[in-house]
Amino acid sequence: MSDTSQGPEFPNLPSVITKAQRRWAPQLIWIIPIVAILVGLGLMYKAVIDHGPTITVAFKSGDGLIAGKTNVKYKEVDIGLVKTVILSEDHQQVLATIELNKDASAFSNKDTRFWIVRPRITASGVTGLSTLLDGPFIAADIGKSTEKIDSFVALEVPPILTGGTPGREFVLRAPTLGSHNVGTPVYFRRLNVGQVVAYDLDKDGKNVSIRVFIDAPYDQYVTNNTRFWNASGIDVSLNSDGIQVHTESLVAVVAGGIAFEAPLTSQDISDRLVNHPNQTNVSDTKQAATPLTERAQPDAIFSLFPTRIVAMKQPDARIERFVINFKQSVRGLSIGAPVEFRGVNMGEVVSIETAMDPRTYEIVQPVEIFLYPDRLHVRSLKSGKLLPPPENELSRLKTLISKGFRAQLRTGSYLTGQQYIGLDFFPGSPKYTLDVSKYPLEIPAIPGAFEDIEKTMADVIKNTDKLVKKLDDQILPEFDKTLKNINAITAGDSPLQTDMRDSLRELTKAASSIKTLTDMLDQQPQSLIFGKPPEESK
Amino acid sequence: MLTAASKGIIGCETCGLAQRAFPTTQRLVCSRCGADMHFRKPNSISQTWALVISAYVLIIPANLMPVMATGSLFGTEKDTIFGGVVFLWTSNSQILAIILFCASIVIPFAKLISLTFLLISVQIRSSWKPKVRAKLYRMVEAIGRWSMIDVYVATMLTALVQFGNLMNIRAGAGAIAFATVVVLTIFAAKSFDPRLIWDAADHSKNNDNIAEELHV
Repeated sequence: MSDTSQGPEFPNLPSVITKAQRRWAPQLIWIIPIVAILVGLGLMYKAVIDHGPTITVAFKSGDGLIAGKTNVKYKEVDIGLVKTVILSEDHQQVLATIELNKDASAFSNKDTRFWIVRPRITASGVTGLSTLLDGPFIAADIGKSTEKIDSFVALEVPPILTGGTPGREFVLRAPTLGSHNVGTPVYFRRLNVGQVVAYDLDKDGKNVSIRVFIDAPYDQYVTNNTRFWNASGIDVSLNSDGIQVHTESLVAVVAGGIAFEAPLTSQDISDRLVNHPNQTNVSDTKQAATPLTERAQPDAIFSLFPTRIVAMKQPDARIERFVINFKQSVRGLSIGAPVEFRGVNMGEVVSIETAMDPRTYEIVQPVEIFLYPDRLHVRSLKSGKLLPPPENELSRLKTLISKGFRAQLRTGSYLTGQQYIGLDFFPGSPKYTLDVSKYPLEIPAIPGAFEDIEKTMADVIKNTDKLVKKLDDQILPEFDKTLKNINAITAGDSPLQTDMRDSLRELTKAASSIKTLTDMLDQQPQSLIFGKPPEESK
Repeated sequence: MLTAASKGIIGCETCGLAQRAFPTTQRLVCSRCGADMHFRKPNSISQTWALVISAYVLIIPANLMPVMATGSLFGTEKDTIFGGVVFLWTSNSQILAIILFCASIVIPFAKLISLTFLLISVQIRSSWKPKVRAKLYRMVEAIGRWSMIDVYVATMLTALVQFGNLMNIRAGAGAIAFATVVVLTIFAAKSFDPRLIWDAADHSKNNDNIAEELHV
């Protein structure tokens, strides 16, 4: 480039051709950055707009959670992405930070549930097989709460039901969980209509709340008076009725289950009877017209009965408490034992105690019972119509007792020795006046039939005992004396003996002379008349 | 510093023929090949700035958005450029990781920074080491297109790996942004007139009359 200084000395350089200047819009190039900025801003805006809430979900294990890869899905659609996976401060949990999509912001509702979907084999089937290949993902079930929170605790086990399944949930309270589990089927007339979705111990630890979900068309049959009972397994009960075995369907026996049914109300029964003549017509209109029992509210609480029989017992609105003071052993009587009036169950035993009067030292067994007075229908014997119960229960009881209404301990089953309390009228029983001031009121007891036998037996044994004693004391010494006398008589040197011998000798002599006589008579019968023949003829 | 422009000589940018010219408002056309000729590329600095700024804007999504979405039976995976580098590095392919890192991250940024530096130095008419700056410019121009390998790889894979559900690769939005960045920097390098470096150096020698005129 040293010769560039000679540039001007190149005379033979050709000249540039000049043409009229074209008019350019000079700064057109600036459209590019403007477009770029617009695009960039657009992207940024989109990112900000699309940026849903960021939530933290605590898991027990981070197995398969990969930051930036594990998706959050709802109905198999991505709604978010795991951004970070870290340990909690106490190192007990795994905290996954999840960035939800903008349109999935509703998933930060307070009651949204999260859980990891992994391959899982349960009684109800195999789920999550796809995660074998592409790894686990976090599934979500949208909550209905309007409250938004940003930290959640994931479920250990996937919920059986996810939001949006039509139907309703109810709460069953039971003393024990029994063999129920999440997923345990719920039967209605042997149809599988729902399942157990959750269970929890009550805070006081006294009951277990089991949440059941009844699928949509069937949830209408859950009415306010519906009874739920355990249909699981085989229920063998031993009581005064003997051995009872109850089973539901075979599936329920194996897998357990809960069944429900609304008991027939007396109105139902009477409806049926009324409808009987032209059933088709009337029942249709009746069904439409009488929503007898209203549909239960969602989350209504029911108690879970142990068996169908217990569940379907008529509800006893009124309970009256009585005490019966037994002066006998109440062995075989248990709490819950029936109280029957002529074979009709009227109540049950609620407590069995023993009490002593401090002055008289008399000990009685006070047995408290519940009676359901409504079970005693008041009915006109002439027309058969049901009448309203009497207003003054007390006077009724007084009258009944004066007529001989008594309680008695009876044996329900001689096999098991179970006892129950029988109520009946014993017209000949001793008088009793009801002490109205006491609570609970006392129903007088009379000894049971079995007790009578026992008493008689005891008396018999007692008499026998006396007899034996008398024998022992008086007759035996006499007998002894007699024996001694006999001994003395029969001794070898006793005069009796000698006399006896002599007598015997004489007797032998007599016998031989008789023999001679008879011989002679045999040979010479004439001698009896003609006398003894002379010696020579012999 | 002596420049051709200051001596009324202009070189054709297309055929290289040096010709005599005078500062004029009229359009200059090469007497041999008929191409438009300029003493200095018109609006060089502002054009370059525009392209560089565009590139700056777009390099952000290029690095933040996924370049490739790999769909397979095992789900869809979206990878950014940096994610790819990290993946290569952690899967014991450190050399490949370095190559990818240099080609896809270092070079685009280095290019943009170099162009910015050149633009600023020309605008403030710095006379600082013009030869070094000229060398830098030549380097920027030379390596610019190599950044495109990333885009080529993505394009090739997208075209080739299409096995339906089994496996498929789609180019992400990041790939488009990245390609745009590379193209923009190539154009920016093209639109930058390295002769301005020398003008500034010349200007420092009080030769500003011509330079002033020629800048326009």
